[in-house]
Amino acid sequence: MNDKSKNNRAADLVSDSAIVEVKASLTAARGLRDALTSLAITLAEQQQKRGYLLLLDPGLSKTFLETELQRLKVALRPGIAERLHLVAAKGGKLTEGTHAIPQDDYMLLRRALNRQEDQRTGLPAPNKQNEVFLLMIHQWVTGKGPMTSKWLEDTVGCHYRTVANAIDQLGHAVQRHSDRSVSFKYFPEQDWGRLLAVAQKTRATMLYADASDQPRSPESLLRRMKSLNRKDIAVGGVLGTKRYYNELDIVGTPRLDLCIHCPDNRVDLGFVHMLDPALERTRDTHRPARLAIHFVRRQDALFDRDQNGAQWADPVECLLELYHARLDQQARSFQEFLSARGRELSGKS
Amino acid sequence: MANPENNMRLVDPAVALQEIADAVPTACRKHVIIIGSLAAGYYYRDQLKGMAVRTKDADCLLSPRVAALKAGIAIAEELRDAGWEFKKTKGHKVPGTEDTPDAELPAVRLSPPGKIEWFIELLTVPESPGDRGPRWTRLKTKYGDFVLPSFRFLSLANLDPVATEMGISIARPEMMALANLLEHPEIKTDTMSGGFADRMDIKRSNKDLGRVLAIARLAMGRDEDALQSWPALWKTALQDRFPDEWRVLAGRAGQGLRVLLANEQEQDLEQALYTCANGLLASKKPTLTQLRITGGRLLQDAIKPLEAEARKRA
Repeated sequence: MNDKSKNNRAADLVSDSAIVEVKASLTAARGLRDALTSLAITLAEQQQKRGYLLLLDPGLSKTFLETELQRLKVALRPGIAERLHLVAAKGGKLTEGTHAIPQDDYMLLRRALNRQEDQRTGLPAPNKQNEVFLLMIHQWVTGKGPMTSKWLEDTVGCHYRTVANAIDQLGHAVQRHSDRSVSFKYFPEQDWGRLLAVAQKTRATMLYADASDQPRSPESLLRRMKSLNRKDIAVGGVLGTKRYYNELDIVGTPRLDLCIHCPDNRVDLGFVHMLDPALERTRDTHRPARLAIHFVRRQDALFDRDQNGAQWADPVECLLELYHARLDQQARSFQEFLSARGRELSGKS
Repeated sequence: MANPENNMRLVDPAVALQEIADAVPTACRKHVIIIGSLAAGYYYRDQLKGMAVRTKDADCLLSPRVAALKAGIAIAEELRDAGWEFKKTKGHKVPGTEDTPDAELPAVRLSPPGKIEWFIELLTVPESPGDRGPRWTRLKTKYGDFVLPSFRFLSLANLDPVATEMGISIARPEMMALANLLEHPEIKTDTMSGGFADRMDIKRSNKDLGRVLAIARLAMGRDEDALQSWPALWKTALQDRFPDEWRVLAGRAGQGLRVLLANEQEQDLEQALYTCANGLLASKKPTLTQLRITGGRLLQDAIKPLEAEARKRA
């Protein structure tokens, strides 16, 4: 899979049998002709594939689109013309041109559409000062000791002033060392509470619910996740927390929480369909989510790879995800555990 | 338009199987494998939660082939002796005689005494892997002449059948699913001759592929990852039953299902849904979206891995 220009929000998806090119909000005949011609050239080079131009919310009539497609097909070699297709989507649904296309191609189109929808939703810009704060908490609860501003800059991927401002805001909780490195004196409860208050909005977590009436368990989704062998995804939430804190008081696993490392704020969510074709994005917080996807934006994800090849989110990320899942009691218990461990490891207990 | 021949009744799979087992001569029970919705309904009776399945026939596969003819005659005669009645159809009002051409003979279709809601039909497996087409073998009984039909992919249904405490066996659901997938590499236009649950427009392909989806849904109801075990079982079965052709068959196993799921107007999938809702899934009817998802999961967990196996070098 590869991307095209970010500016026109177009993207390609490619499978063994098909190519999908996407054009959003096309309103001019010239743009349509250019896109169809470009796809026809690609099909001439890739003779085994079918090509689909997917138009998102086109500002051109169905009749016009069909006429333009047929006009171009007349000018093309039959071997290319018969593989060239035009599909339209409106309001996030495929509406035209999907008649009698192979199921795999249909699913590819849906993936392309979903991806566009996700990209349109977009990830809000991360709050880099919060990222600095979370990183410092991580170093404290894992006993990694003092850190330099440069290390914070590089690990978060931010300007030194952002680091300086973040540290200043933390005030007395921060201990400044003679070598200009910093660390926490104690777990900064007040600042942590402030971060939690805005976390639901700023983290841009995406929730997926089951549409099959036969929901797969988080464990099943996790097994399938592992088989994808993605280096940029780690397990967090309840399952991740249990790795650090086996006294977590919870029966079963309500959902699978996954963290995707996306330091450039761009994300490919095509894998969700591979975990389960029944998963559909929901913004309804009352609907039970089977999958939650969180985004780790710093440069270093701090994922931990175990001996079985599984990747795990860091403990602070897991803690945030417990709160996000409204498992407040379990989250507070884990927070106390981490806080006590931080005090112990820093020699301040 | 309703058809008097297609009145499907709710039948408790366990009760029907017991009735068949009781009626079949003891010596023949080991040769009887129930296939179709009754077999699947019995296998997944925990999923049906005591609910009956809608069906009108109990397909009895006689196996092995070498014993089928003798068993078929014995079963037909003993059932008729016990009062089971010849099932009249539009084309066959009475059994054939020795003068009736093979092509015009009826199959053995018998209803239990006093019950017209369902009937058994006797079938057998093909003689060899190379036996491609349907075959009809004459069955001469004291009550007249019949035929014993065999179809190419029925050889999958007698692979490692599940024994029941009643002495007869049932086909493995995943093997019935594979047989149906292979039988329908496309959506053929021929409709169910007797209709299906008051509808005369149901295509046989949609009914059989709908059965595949129903079995997949029941399997996942018991074990969410059940479909992941199917590719290995299917591969072994194809290698055993069609050693020279297994790769070709594995490679095309998903063709018909893909066409069914890709049908934008959804008439075919709607028909498949109708057969599920009025058949195996009558107790918990899925929606069209849910059935489509079942198809997506089946492709992902079972069919694509099987196709991948077929593509591997020998």
